[in-house]
Amino acid sequence: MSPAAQHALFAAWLRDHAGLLHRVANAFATGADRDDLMQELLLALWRAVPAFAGASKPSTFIHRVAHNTALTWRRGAATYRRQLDRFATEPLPAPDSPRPGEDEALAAIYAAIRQLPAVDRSLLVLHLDGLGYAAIAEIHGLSENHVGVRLTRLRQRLTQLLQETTDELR
Amino acid sequence: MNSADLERAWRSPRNSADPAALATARDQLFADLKKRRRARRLFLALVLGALTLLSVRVALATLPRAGGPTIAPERDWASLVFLALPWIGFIMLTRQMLRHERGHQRAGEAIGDTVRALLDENATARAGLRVTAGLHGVTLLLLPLVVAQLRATGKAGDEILWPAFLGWPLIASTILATLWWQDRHRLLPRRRQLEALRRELERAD
Repeated sequence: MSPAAQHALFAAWLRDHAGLLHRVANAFATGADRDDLMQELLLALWRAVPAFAGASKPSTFIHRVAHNTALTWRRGAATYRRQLDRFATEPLPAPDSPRPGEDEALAAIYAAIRQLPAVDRSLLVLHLDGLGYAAIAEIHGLSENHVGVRLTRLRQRLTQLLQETTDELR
Repeated sequence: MNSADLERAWRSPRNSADPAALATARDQLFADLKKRRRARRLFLALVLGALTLLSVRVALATLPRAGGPTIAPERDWASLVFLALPWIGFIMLTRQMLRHERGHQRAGEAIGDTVRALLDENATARAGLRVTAGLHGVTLLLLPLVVAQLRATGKAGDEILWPAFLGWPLIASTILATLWWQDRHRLLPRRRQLEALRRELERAD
């Protein structure tokens, strides 16, 4: 693939599917880590462009790249140091304070999702993004039945976590 | 909050990327890509330069000169092996970097396959570190022989003693310490992270 074609496809994907990356980044990290993860997601997507053979829909491919990256992402040492520095010099923000453009309900949903183990988080985000069991199973390399069972339990767990958050706010 | 509220909030336009922040992140990505490419080239150039200097230095001391002693494998073998070791290390390092680059082409794989491949890559990287550390250890063991052979054939005098018995051991120790740190603080935690992820993926509900 020529660099011009790579640039064009990358730009088109960002235009049409940036929201997907935004949701994955928010589900897996907060604060400076979230920005670092977003950067990693963009980098992974850029590098993955030449590997896109058109066999699946671009959105499925981008979901796969994004979740692969988020699950295997390592928080960088620089970010960790930056966090320690900030921790030492600044007051901690409220745990559920919304990011710009994100209302309280969304902040509560993301906070609840981030309490789940990484793989469960990924399964739930894919499900909330509207992917079917078969597509999720293919992305994770799991059986459709396994995904169905896990998601049934996860939906209940998420509702329970959100209920707890709502009760705490009352 | 019930399921309907959840889905409504999730699908709301507010749950999407801020265009301005995205544009900044994209610009930063391309700047970062350039920086990474430059850093990689500089790193390879530095390693290659240092190796060439070292090899030329050893080669000048070992290879025959007009009117001087000739090269004889049975007499100069330690120098020849010493000369080859860093190049073996360099080739291994370059292959590892290329393998890492090829790893990015796995982007379209299922997550389970990616985790397994990353675990294999981690094991290969750790084995590579052990071999590199071993090669450095061999150079340290070999060095007294190299010095003895060069002095015996009159190819070097006392001037070789300081770099051989202080300079190189210091450099090799620093490299070995760096390799150890890399294994303990990067590769081992990475392996643990990936193993935990694999267990989580394979967990049956």
